[in-house]
Amino acid sequence: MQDDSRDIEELVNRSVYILREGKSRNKKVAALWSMGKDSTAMLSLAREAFLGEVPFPVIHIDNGIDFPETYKFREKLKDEWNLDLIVAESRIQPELSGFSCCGSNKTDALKKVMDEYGFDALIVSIRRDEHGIRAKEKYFSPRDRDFKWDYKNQPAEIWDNYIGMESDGGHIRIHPLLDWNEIDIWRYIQMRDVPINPLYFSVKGYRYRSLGCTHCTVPIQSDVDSVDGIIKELKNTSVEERAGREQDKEKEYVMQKLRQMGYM
Amino acid sequence: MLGHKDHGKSTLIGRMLIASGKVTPDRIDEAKRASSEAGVEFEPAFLLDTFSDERELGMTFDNTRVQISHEDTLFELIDVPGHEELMKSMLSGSSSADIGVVVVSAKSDEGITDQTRRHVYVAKMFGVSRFVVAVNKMDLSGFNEETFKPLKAEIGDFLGNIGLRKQDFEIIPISARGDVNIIRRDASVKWYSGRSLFESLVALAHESGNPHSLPPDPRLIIQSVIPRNGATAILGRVIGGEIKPGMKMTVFPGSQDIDVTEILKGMKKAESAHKGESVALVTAESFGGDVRGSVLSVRSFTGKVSNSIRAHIFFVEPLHGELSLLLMDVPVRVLKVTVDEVIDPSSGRRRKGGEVKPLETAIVRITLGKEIAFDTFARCRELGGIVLAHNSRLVGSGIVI
Repeated sequence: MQDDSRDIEELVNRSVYILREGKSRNKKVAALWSMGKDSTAMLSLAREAFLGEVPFPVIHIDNGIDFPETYKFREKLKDEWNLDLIVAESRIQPELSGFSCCGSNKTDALKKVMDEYGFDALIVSIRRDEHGIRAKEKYFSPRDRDFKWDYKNQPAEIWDNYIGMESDGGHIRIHPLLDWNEIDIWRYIQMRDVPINPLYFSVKGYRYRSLGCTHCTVPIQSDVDSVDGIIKELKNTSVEERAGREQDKEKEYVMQKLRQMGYM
Repeated sequence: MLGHKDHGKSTLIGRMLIASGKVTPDRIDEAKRASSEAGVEFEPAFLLDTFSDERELGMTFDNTRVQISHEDTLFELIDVPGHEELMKSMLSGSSSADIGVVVVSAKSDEGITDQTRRHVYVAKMFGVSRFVVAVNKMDLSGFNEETFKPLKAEIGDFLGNIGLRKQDFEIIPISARGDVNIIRRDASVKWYSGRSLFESLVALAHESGNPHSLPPDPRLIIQSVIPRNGATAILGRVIGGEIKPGMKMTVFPGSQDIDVTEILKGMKKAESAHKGESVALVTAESFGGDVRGSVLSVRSFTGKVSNSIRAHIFFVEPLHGELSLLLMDVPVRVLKVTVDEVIDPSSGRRRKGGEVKPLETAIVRITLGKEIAFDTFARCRELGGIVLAHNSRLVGSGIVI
């Protein structure tokens, strides 16, 4: 059961503020874009923040096994929104799965592209309600050179003053969607008519609720084929959003390890 | 969620999550499994303390924020660490909260501690105006009224002494582990006729609460400036009043005048902008210097522009070395800090001038290397909440008075 009573405009105002702060306080910013609903909503918010333009490159970490619909959606929106797209190729290792797959493959590819372009900040579209570990995240969060997260010594955030942000040769993570819930994202997509990956809509009785790559995402049973329908469905579900993600299932501590290692 | 370590903050939040139906059976099973692996009884705190070393050490490291909803009211609970050395996380949590839930253990050797009083004092100073005190672990005394009474009297006195009115707080006997008086009042505790924790929270949430007066003049904090079709777009957040196209506005400090020709919300033109909104203001003028962090208002701006600020600061480190003051995240060099009076938040004791130690508060006069625009915290939170830092380490934080 999800609560649909929140004021979306208030969330928008907050996220626009964070995106503008993130852009102003760092030298070279990039954003991760998985073509999923959250990072696509984030790009829409960036367009709202910067007068219709996304003023930073967007990175797709491509392991070559995303869904065909995802690639098609990427190209369509890249043209429509005039996105500066960087594709970071990560090779899939068939013997690895879940933890090691997301950990070594995607994170290594990201490290490479961050180094190559010299980005000092990365916008990541995580939300606090997704996972227990993410409930401890901050709007701005330093990662060290090895992408490690020192969660025991996080910067203070006091009335929009952020103290202790030096990243020691690493980078700053910017989290503009931290306050949003799953249902808030869909309500925003509905209100702004944001283009969305078709995999979220039902085909032959199945749809995806959370999108990873083809190897570790499984669809849910659902006949819902519209944004309105998804919102209605979420108001009545008792299943967690990431139930279809293999890497979360192995164990709670796996997510901790992944995040400490730099996984998004 | 405030209080001393081990008095049960995380357990209570875990319990509230379960009670509100927010947690799926999967998550509860996971926490049960982790509890039995750790060799303890089912611990609702494990729903929040997700890091393995938090579970092993039985302590929370950093703010966890989770949402629960109850009777059409959506709450965000902020779990703050109860350890002295983690006060900076506690300040982060307090600066964004409306209601303080103070957890006090009724266990004979625990009760109200310096840390409990410090948390409450600082939260009140940082703008938390209403409190629910949950006297926890009442099951250990079999919910004995004689255990509750003296704690209630002591807490009530303390809250009164720091300036809270009777209607601003409520004191409730509970058991977070045993799930008593959390959602609804438990009839088995016959001597207690007050509200349950949830009932009290819902009631407080719907009271208008914080009576701080809004500044009447239009104000916007400038985040950045970008070119737009040969003109300038000022990106920022409105923190007071109303801004309309055609308005003559002034940048403080510096007093440069501009004409607002257009207001943009997202990609759309707007007829006005109000407090809380992130907007772009278009003007024909351009700016010579860096205006990030400056305040855009009108000539009759009712805030202050000065290089001297009087403030009440809570210190986490001693005053030392080169300091900078942060207001809306823009640092300004501090030339001098003069301590007028030191107030110990755990005892309320005051002394004139002298050294201020960590975990104490002080009334200070701060002299800056240049003028900035600010206001008192009571009138305008955004222009009155300040931070003192040394080499990007937090030294103290507090309010302009």
